[in-house]
Amino acid sequence: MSILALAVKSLLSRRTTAVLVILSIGLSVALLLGVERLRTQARASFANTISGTDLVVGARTGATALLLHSVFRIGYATNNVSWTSYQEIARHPRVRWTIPLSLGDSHRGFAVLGTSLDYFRHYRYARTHGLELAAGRVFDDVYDAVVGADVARELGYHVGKSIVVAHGAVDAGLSLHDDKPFRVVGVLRKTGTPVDRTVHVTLAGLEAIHLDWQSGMRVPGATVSADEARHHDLTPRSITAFLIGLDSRTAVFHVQRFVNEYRREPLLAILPGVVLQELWDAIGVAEQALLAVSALVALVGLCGMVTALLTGLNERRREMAILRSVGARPRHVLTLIVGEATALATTGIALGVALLYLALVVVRDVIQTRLGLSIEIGLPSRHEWLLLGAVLLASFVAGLWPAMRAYRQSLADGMMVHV
Amino acid sequence: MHRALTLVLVATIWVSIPVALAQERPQAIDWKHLIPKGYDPDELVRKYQHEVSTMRDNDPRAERAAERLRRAWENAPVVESLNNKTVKLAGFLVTLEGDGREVSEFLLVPYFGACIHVPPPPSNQVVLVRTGSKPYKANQMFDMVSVTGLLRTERAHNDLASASYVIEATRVEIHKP
Repeated sequence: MSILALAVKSLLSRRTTAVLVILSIGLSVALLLGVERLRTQARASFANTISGTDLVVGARTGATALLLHSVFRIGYATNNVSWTSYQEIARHPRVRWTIPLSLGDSHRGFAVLGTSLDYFRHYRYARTHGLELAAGRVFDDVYDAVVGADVARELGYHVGKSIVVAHGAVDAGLSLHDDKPFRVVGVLRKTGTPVDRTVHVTLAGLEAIHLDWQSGMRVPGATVSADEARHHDLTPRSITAFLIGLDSRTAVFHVQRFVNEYRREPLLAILPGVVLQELWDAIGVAEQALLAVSALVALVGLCGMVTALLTGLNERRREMAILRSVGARPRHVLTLIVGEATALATTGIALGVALLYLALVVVRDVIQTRLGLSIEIGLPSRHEWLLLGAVLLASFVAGLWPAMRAYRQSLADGMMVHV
Repeated sequence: MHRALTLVLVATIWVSIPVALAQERPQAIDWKHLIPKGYDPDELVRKYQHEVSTMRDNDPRAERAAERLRRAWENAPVVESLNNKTVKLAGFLVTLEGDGREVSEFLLVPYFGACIHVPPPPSNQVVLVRTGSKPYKANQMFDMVSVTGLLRTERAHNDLASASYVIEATRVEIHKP
């Protein structure tokens, strides 16, 4: 019987310990990879939300706050931008296109965004992708609406559906603009960005539903019907923010300064790329800490393995003596122990990866709904392979200690065991 | 026969090496090389120096002067002879497009940050850099980098008379001064 076969039998006789070790390494590897994957996917998902936009302009607030509420729909604006200011800035000679954004209302948990046709023409994400329709068309009429992929999927909307928008950020069935329903005319294709969770309407439509509203309530006795509203002047008085595309990217600092020093209103213009970078630098510290913790957990798993091997050595002295008697040299004993450690770690790593994929399949939809992040279930990335390799190497090194112990013991014991 | 072949081989190598080197060697330039001779961006600063230094910040006259300065610097001329040259330029990186770890498009500027009291740099002192297929792994904001690549002068979309610099980078690395 070969030494390898004997080794396997030996391991099987110590199954319980072996299984526990494999499980602890598996869980720690799953955690390590899970954290790493979540981190990189979240970062990419965030960064891919907006592309090709030179400036984001809103009422004067903090740079990060402006980026978060206007592009990611996280948080709220502190003030609005007047229509006059928007028009004047849009007329700046270096400005090629603008996309107005009007936020504030919601529909069954999804944000309602008032915008213009320029949104569908110029909005870019993930570097080069533009918005595409999965069904229907973009808006034409005042009460037309175009919904994002997730809105259509979760609420079961299709082209032609009539929907009612709620006033304010939480749609709880109160404060509904139910006298002026919108009609879904288009559904967008999935983008993996907050666009998927947005109901897009016309700026005129938003104005229409608020015509007879004052301070958040419908004014009794002064109601305007949906059709009557069409004949009013539906030019907005203000918007929440707007995106700017310039005719030359190097002009960005000049236009930014122009907006920041605009006398008529306190406004803020930010470079989205720069602010995203700032955001990552701030979060980066927390990310590194999280990664360090996961690495420590993996280390603890390996320590468990070393402990199990070391404590088992005493009981296995007779086993080693038997192995010596069938021709094993002390160096074979060393190889055996190191091999065991590596085998346990490899099985643990395989289990860990399997656990990770299982967890991802289960949790993916929840993360998508709650956080708006899309996590890919693809093969491990190069970085992840490196992490796995590092764990394997660490297990090899860790196995050397009990292996050396066993080596010296078998030298001292020879073929006789003095228990 | 043998001798002839060897001779041809040696001759080919002899000629191709200097040709290759001549094409690839980037010309190390400084920010002042991007300003055409005869154009003095500071001339306007000096002209309005008096007004700017004797007024308070919120004075509308100071703003009008700053406005004129800004507009002049927005359309600064470029050096056409640098078009299509391979160059190497060092400056500060301002991210335009990136995925949080890698930067695929950025602006290269001559100084760190932008002082509120002074207008942003003239348009011939800002370079748009595209990294193409090899994005740059940014360490932190405003890294000081050295960019090697093909420099081009591109016209603006709206205003064909106004041009700016673009570098299609082949190499971007941290610059240690």
